[in-house]
Amino acid sequence: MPILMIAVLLLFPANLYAYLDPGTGSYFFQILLAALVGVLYGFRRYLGKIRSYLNNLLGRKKGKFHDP
Amino acid sequence: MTLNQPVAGSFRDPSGFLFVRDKTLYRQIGRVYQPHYDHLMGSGLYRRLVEEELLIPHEEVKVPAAEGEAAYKIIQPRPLSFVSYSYEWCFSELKAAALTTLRIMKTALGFGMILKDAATSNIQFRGTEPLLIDTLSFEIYREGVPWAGYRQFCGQFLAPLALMALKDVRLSRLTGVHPDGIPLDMASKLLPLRSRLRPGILLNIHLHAKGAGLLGRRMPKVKTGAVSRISLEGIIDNLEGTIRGLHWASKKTEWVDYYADTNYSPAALAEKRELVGQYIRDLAPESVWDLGANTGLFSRLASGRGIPTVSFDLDPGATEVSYLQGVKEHDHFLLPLWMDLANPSPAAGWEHNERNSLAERGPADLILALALIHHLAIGNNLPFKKIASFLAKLGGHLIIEFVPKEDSQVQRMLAVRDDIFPGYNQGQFEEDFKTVFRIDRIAKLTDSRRLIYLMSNRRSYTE
Repeated sequence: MPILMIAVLLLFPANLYAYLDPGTGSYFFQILLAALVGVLYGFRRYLGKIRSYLNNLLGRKKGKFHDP
Repeated sequence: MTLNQPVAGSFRDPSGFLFVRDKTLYRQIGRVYQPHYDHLMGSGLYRRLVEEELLIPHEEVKVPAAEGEAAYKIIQPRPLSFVSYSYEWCFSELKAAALTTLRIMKTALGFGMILKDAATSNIQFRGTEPLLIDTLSFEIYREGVPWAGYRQFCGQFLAPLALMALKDVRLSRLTGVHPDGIPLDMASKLLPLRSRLRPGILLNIHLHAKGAGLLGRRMPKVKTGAVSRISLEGIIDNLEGTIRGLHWASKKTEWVDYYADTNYSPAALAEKRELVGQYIRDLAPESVWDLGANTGLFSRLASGRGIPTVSFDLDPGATEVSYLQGVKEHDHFLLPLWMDLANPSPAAGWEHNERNSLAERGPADLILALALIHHLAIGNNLPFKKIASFLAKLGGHLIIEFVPKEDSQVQRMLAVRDDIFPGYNQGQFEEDFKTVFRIDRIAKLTDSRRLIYLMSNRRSYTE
């Protein structure tokens, strides 16, 4: 775990100009978390878009079918 | 002469500060915050949040600045009727405050801004509705920059909510002794093992605590591009889902069945309601504090008339029930809070001055103290004189119920202890309360030995 964390941090360092102390460890942890959660969230949103596209497509077909 | 009195607790953020002049609250915005304030107002974010009742409305005013050279603008926020703190909130109040913070964060991102902090003290309640009161919490979003408020959010919102839901609801009191947020390593130790099965708790508390401890020893490298917009949205989404998944059910609490389990006949209870309602109508107070309010049956006689009312109770379950009822009824005037009157919230923070004590947040026009005196006098060994002098600090008028020793509730309290209260009688009660209050009316309830007093403070209680 620590090796993975440090590896990710070396890949994605960043800075912050905040009045609030974000906590050094917490700041680094967020970068790690962002990498993990970002991928999952991006994937979920992508799936959601496909699903809504398909729904629209099916919905339109259904609508046409029911048109008098 | 006009004096500028800075408001305690608003000095940490260099963007601006609150001050009071001629009993009016203003917020001075510093020049350093100008681009952010202009973006907030110009982008439509302010209008959207105010329309959705998520942000306190304000007006820009032309009054002299408190510190002239540093001022960009002075704004006058809409006044709040009462300021409360997270250690006084029930579970659902803290949860609502957390979800409101995240909703504001998501809305802000849509307008190119971000919340630069995530403190519980930035949220206050208008009745049961939470809203952000710190207009200077917004900052222009720069893609790639991590969210500065992440740790604060986890410590001030997520950790206490998880502890309340998964361990013990009373652990929210820890936010009082850890105003910057419950230390995550401590939260991690206190949470049960099964909490690790929840991905959001595992990530944002357990691994966060462990990771922060390990990574805190490294110095940050300076470069941007670490937390992409989609990742930040993912973190917010994850926090929101985690918090929505936390529930606390007040299964068995001490007082929530109180009205169903008293020695009041339905007629006496109705008479008591009628009497208290009549006194409230006659007095037409501007503010009411109901002490020992239980689920707020009598508080609602005031809030139902549009009077800002705060109800306090020792039982977090009763507070929760009262809050949820208020939410259902869209009550904009009743705020139920969890408070031990025998140990009321103290002044706290830097110089004891960032959080006000309960008494400092008064006085209220009217205090209700119904079915309370025996809990303070016998349950907590407090002499009548001390109770009277404390109540006199809190308000102008007092509706107080005297519960005699023969009452079954008092007998129940004395069943397992020595009766060391020879002075607990109506005569002594009146004599001691008369030292600070004037007794205006006494009413005896049908089918009950209890008495309802209407009293007025002998001293002027307003400043």
